[in-house]
Amino acid sequence: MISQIIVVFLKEMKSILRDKKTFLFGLIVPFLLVPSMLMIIDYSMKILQNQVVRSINISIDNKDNSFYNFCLAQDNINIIDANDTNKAISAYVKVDADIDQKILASEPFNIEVVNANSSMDSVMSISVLNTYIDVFEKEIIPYIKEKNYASDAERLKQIMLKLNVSNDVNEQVKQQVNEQNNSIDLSSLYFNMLVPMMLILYCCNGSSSVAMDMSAGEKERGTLEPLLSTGANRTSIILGKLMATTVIGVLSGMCTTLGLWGYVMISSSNNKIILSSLQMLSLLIIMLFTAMFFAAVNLTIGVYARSYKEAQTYFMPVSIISLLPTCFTYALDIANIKLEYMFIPIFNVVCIIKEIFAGAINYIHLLIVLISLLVYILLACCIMLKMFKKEEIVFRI
Amino acid sequence: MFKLIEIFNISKRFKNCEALKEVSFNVSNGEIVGLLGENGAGKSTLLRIISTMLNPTSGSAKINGYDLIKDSKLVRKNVGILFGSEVGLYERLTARENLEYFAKLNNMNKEEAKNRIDELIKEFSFEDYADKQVGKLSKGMKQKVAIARSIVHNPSVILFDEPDSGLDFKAANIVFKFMTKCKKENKSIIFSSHSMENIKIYSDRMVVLHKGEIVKQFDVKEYRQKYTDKEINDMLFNLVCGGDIDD
Repeated sequence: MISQIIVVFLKEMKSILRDKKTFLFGLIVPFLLVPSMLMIIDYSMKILQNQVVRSINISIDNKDNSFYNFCLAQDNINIIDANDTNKAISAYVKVDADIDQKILASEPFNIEVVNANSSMDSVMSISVLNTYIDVFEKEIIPYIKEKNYASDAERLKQIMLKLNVSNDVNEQVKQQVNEQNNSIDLSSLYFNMLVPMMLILYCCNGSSSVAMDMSAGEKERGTLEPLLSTGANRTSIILGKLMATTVIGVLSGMCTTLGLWGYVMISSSNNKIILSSLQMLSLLIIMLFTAMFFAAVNLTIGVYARSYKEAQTYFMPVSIISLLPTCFTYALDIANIKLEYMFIPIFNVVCIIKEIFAGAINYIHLLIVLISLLVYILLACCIMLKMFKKEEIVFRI
Repeated sequence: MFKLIEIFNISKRFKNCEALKEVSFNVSNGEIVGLLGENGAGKSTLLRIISTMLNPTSGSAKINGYDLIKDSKLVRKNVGILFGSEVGLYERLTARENLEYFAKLNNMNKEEAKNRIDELIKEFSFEDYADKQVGKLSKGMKQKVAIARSIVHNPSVILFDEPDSGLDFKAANIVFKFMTKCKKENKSIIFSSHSMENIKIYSDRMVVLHKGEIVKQFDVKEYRQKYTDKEINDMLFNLVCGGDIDD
């Protein structure tokens, strides 16, 4: 039996590796995809950062006050009329109508900054505006109070030059934008959602086309019937196919992981984490088990489907469902991960990936995840074997 | 004459229909039996049962003395099957690799497999393209490789499911020439077809199936001496269309 499993496995591997498309989309693309995606995000963030430092469009509800004039005096702040629909506004500023009187009377006043939209540009602009508000409160208000004079824009500009705050403000703005980049914590977005999503996606997708091709595809091409009429029993045939599917799934998952690792090593971005050898090893082991799980699930789908097309139809929801845990766990604090989460398939993988990226691997969690994955793999294999032995499923009669 | 195929009261029931109803017949060595019937008559189901791909709901069969259910592995060793228009070859493997794969799955050792494959390549004259990927071959070439694949383990029983379906004259001729050769080698052959003409020409005995039942089986040579072609055709037409006819 073992020799026949190996015969089937070797034949499938030979067949897979001769298919350039599988090689390209199963191994090369996953290797390049994660680093490319992270590089593109970093690059677009840098462009946005420079743009925000250069100029921001805001709208202020009350004019003719010291804050309005202060903003007007800034080279990189464009004040836009809120009713002007031709220009995109990044932030709205609500200022008390009697702000100057309140400043002079040393009463509390209100300057509120509101998001114009949910874009990253708006988030960064608000951060920049807060820097200006800070400068206004620290540098300008004492001067206004001292001189007992709510200045106009031209006077304020001269005051700022006199106080030598203009350069300071610009420096502070740049610094603030940089800090903002870090405080947005893209690494959190990367490593809590995007990267786990990519890793899961490629463990799942990497083996899907291969699994469908060697099960439903064989039915469609009429190669399954001659195969079933050979001396090999069905268990050997399906286990050989499972081994080949697993190898491709694992290679695909590994390529994604190694691509990520390569990016982490060479990137100069702030949005990166350092993975130790132990973290990397833990990640590779988890990816291995996850790929095995998906290989078994994908092959089960392929065995059930009448044709390649039907298998693809079943595979779509599986692919989407497998990505949902990455969204559910995005906001999950790794310190509060419950033990029972470690038994939920895929959800447990995402949780443990988060722990690995945070450098806070709980080895009991890791062990539970590996054991539970092994149980799910065996369960999927049992279902697949049972289905492959049922003539009404294999021949769909 | 030795009965290589013995089928006793085989029935097969799928969810909503009875595909075969107590089918019984024998095939001796060196005999070609033609299965005639319309679509859904149960021809393919019967061949799949004989090749152990499907289990009968009731009844039994012996292939070369081996029980279909109890000795299914040994039965498979004795049976080669070829599905008509679907050559069922792996396109990314070469013709030789396809044969090697099936030889290994039929538990042939390396030396034995190599000799047999070389012999088949020579016999079917595909030395020129034996090491080309099957996907790059013409339909006729593929048909030769598929036949070689189905007999790589040298079975004593060969089953052909509609071997003439979807094939041009040249490719179909390859199959029928091969059938005649197997007959000379004392192998038992069952082939199913929609074509009355091909069955009349190539089979020794004809089994007519209608809605899963054998409605007639007769010696083709005997009938051709007794009746005109037109009379045989009319009789077969009535049988496969559900009518009945007296001898």
